[in-house]
Amino acid sequence: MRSYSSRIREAAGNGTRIRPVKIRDLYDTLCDHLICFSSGVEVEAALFETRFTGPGGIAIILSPYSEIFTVSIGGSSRCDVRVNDEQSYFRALDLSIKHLLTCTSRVTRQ
Amino acid sequence: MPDRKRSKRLHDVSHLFLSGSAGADSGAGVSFTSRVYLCISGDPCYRGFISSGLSSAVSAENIPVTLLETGYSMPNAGYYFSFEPEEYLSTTLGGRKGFKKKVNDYLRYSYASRYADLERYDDPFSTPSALQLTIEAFGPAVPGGTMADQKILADLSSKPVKKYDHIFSRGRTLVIFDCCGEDDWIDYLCSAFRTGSSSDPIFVIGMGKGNGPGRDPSISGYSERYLEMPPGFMKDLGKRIPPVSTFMRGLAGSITRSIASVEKERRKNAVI
Repeated sequence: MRSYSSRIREAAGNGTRIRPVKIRDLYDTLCDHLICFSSGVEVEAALFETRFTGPGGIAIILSPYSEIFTVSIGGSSRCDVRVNDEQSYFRALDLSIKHLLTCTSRVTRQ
Repeated sequence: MPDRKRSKRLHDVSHLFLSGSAGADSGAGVSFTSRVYLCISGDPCYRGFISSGLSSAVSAENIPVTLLETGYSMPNAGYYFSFEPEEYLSTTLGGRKGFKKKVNDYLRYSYASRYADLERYDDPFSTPSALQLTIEAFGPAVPGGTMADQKILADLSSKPVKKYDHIFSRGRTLVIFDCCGEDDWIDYLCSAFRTGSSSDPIFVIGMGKGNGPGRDPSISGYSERYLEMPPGFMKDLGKRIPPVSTFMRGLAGSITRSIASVEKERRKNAVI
């Protein structure tokens, strides 16, 4: 299991291609909260996207573009949220938390 | 056909239990607030779930509860109280340090990432009750860490201020949900709590031996009351409702009975 700081460094790396500082900050904050959720959340930075995976089927993909970024939540029946302002950021984080919690409840034995 | 008599619930009798013959000096008949430190160890994702469940279970007994939650990670209890995302996630963007909101007549809530930023409630509850609870919920202070906010640790280990405690706030309880089995941290919390309150109750709720991570109850020499989370306790983690299960209601009852018992003993000693 990698440390919090190494995971956040990897996740934030892809966000540098987002030009508006405000949207890039939203991207960084979202990455931070996905990683903080649980020590079981792993990060993998690919060329054009950052994947968050974990036990119970956790699958969240952040795809940064020059002006916005998108958040794809879930595996087969996924939903996509386009983040270009605070309101869409709140929706994306809320749906991501719901997904993370649902997946975690599947693997928690208690 | 005779009516079936409904058994009395705790709030129906707590005013009787907490009255008695103690003199005015001991505060008999005066409502008081007791403080519960609720520590959730392990992954921070359990903090909001457990704190919303325990506070809802106590307030369902018509005992007024103020839930003060501290922790950086999301979700907080606001998720389970079905607050709007703009509200419960508002602190994540840094504009607000914390927020507070009344959930219902018996439950009010305040959240901040750091203990020092909590917005407090200065006004008392409008609903009359012999007992009120302030639940201070917290987990690890920093992402990936184990230690709690230094300010709450200082509060936990401080001796109760006599004047403050005897006039309005009395009694302290430590409740630990051990979701990781980090014995060192739990030992530290218990000994810090014992520094300030030598006889107040400690509840440790663990996952139990052989059930994955969690403290082995056989080595919990310090814990007066060790309870095991029942199977399926976390199954509703993703639902936007506080987990007021049979187990949580039982725990809420045990805590309030324990507080009432300590208070009754204190009043008895005050008379003698």
